[in-house]
Amino acid sequence: MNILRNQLPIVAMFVTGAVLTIISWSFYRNAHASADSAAEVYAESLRLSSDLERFRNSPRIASLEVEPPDRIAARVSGAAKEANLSPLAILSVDPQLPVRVNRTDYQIRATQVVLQNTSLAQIAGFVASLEDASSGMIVRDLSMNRSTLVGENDSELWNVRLTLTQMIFSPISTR
Amino acid sequence: MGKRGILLCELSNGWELSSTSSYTPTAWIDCAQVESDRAAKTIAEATLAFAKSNSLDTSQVLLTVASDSVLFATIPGTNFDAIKTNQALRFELESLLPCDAEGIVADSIEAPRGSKQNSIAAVALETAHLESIVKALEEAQFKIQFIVPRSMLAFEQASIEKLLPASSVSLWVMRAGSDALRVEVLATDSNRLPIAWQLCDLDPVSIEQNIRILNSDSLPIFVVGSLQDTELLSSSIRLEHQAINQDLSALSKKRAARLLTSGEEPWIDLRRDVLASQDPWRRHRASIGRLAIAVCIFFAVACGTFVWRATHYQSLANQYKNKQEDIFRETFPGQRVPAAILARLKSEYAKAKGVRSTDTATDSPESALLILRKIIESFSKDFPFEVLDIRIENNRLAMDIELLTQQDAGKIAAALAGQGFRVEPPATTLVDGDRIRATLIGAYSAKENNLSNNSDSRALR
Repeated sequence: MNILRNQLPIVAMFVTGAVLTIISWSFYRNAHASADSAAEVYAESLRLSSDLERFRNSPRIASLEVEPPDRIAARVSGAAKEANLSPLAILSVDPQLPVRVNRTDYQIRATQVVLQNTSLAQIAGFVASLEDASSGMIVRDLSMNRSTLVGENDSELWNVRLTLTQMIFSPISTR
Repeated sequence: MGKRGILLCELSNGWELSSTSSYTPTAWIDCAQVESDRAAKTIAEATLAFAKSNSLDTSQVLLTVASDSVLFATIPGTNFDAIKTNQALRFELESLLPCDAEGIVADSIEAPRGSKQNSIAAVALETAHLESIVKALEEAQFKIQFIVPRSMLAFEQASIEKLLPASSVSLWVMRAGSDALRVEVLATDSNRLPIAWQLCDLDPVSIEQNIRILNSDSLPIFVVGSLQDTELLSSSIRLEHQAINQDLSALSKKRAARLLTSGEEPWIDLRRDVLASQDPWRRHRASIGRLAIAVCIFFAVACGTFVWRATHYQSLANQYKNKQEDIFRETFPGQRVPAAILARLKSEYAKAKGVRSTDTATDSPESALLILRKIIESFSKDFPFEVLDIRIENNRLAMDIELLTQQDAGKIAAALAGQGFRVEPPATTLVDGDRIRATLIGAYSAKENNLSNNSDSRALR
C-alpha cells in the first residue's frame, strides 16, 4: 500500500499525460479529416461550378415550370399576329395535361392547334413564333393537308394540325 | 536551502543520531537499557523525536553500521562476469565468509570503467542484524536512502579529497563508542579503492602483524585520525609511517551529506534485498525518474505536435471553405452564400443539367419546322409534282405526293436522303390512269446530322 501510495503521483501524471495525448491526437485526427473533407468538397464545388458555367452556354431543352393556360393562349394569339394569320384561321387550341416521359425526370405538355387555309409562309412564321427554346417549347408534330381553297395568286393553302410541346424538367425526387 | 538529512550511526553499544549538518546536536540511544525485542521500536521513536525537534528531513535517512557488524572479503580471480548479480555475489561470499547466502545482504566495490581489476572487494552484513530496525523506521515513514558501513564513508571522502596517495596502507583510528578506540587497517589500490580492510584492537603487536600481512609490497603507511588519537598510535608502532590529522566524524558527515543531496552512489550500499523489501525500486529510482521525465517530455511533445498539426489542418479547412464561398459568389453573383454550399450547387447543377444538357435520359423532340425546311429544300424544279399532305410526328415524316413518273418518286426520296433523312423506298400507286401517287416515309435526327435547331429554324424564317 505504501509503495502504491508513493507511486500514485507518477501514475496519475502518466495517466493524465496519456489522456491529454489521446485527446490531442483525436483533435488532430478530426482536424485532418475535416481538412480532407473540405478539400474534397472544394474540388466537387469547383467541378460543379465549371459544369454550371458550361451549361449556361448550352441551349435550353426544357423548362423548369409548366406554362399556365392563359400564357399558352396569349402565345398562340401573338404567333398568329406575327404570322399575319387571321383569328378565323385558328380553329382550335387544345392544351393537354402534362405527362411524364417514361420514367425520366421530364414531363411533356402538348397543346394541339388547328389552323385552316393558311399559306406555307404563314405556317412557317406561326410555328417559328410559337417556339421558344428558353421555355422548352417546340412544335413537335405538324400535319399539313392541302385545302380545297387557293390563296392570292393561286397560291396553295393548307389545313394544319400542329402540336406545340413544352418539355418540363420535373424530377420526382432531388435526392 | 533544503532540509537536513538524518544520520543514524551504529556504534558498539548503541546508536548515535545526528544530521548532515555539524550544527545539529547529536543524540544517543543506549540499547543496553532497552529490551532486545523493543530495541527497533525504541530506535524508530527516538529517531522520529530527534527529527521533529531538529526539523530534519525524514525522507533523507542514511543508516551506518559499525565496522565490527560487517564482513569484508576480497574475491580474487578474473571471472567476474559470473558474479554480476547480487545473488551470485552472496553465494560467492558464502564460500569465503562464515555466513549463509540467504542470511546476508552484500555489495561489492566497482572499479572505474576501463581500469583493470584483479579482485573484487565485497562487504556483507547479516540481515537479522538490521531487519527489524529498518522495518521499524519504514513503518515510522522514514525513507532510508543508504545503509553504509560507517568507516566506508570516511574512506570514500578521503579518496575523493585524495588525502592519501594511491596504493597505500592506512591505519584509521576510529572511535567505536563514547570511549572505545579501534584501529582499522585499509589497503587501497591504484584507484584509491579498498583491496583489504581489517579491524584491529589498539594493540601494537596485532596491528604490526596485520600490516605486514597486508603490506607485502612495502607500500607507504599512514595513520589517520584526530591529533590525540594519531599521537597515541604513532608512539606505539615501530613501523615507518606518516600521520594525517583529520576529524573522521566530520569526514563521514561530509560524505553522507554529499550522498543524500547529489544522487551519487556510495561504494557499498547494503540497502537491498531484505533490507529494502518495502522499497524494492529504490535503486532504480533515478532511472525511473529519468524515464518518467522522458515519457512526460514525449507526452508534451506529442500533445504539442498534435495540437500544432490540428491547428494547421483547421486553417487549411477554413481556407477551402473560403475558396468554396468565393466559387459560389462567382457562380451566383449577388446571391447570399448558403450554409450548405455544396448541396445548393448540386441542386443547381441538377436543374441546369435537366434544363440544358442534351445528355439526358430522354431524346428531346426536334422542331417540326426544321424538318419542314429540310423537306422543302429537297424539292426539285426539274420535274412536276404536287404535295398532297405532309405529316411530321416526333421526327418522323410521312408525305403523299402526286407525280408523273415512278422514277420521280425515287428522285425525291434520294433528295430527302441528301438532306439527312433516313427514307424508306417510296410506295407508288397509279391514280386516274395518268398520275402516280407516292407515299414517302422517313425519319430525321438533328443529332445525327450535327445540326442546330436554332440556326436552321432561323434560316427558314
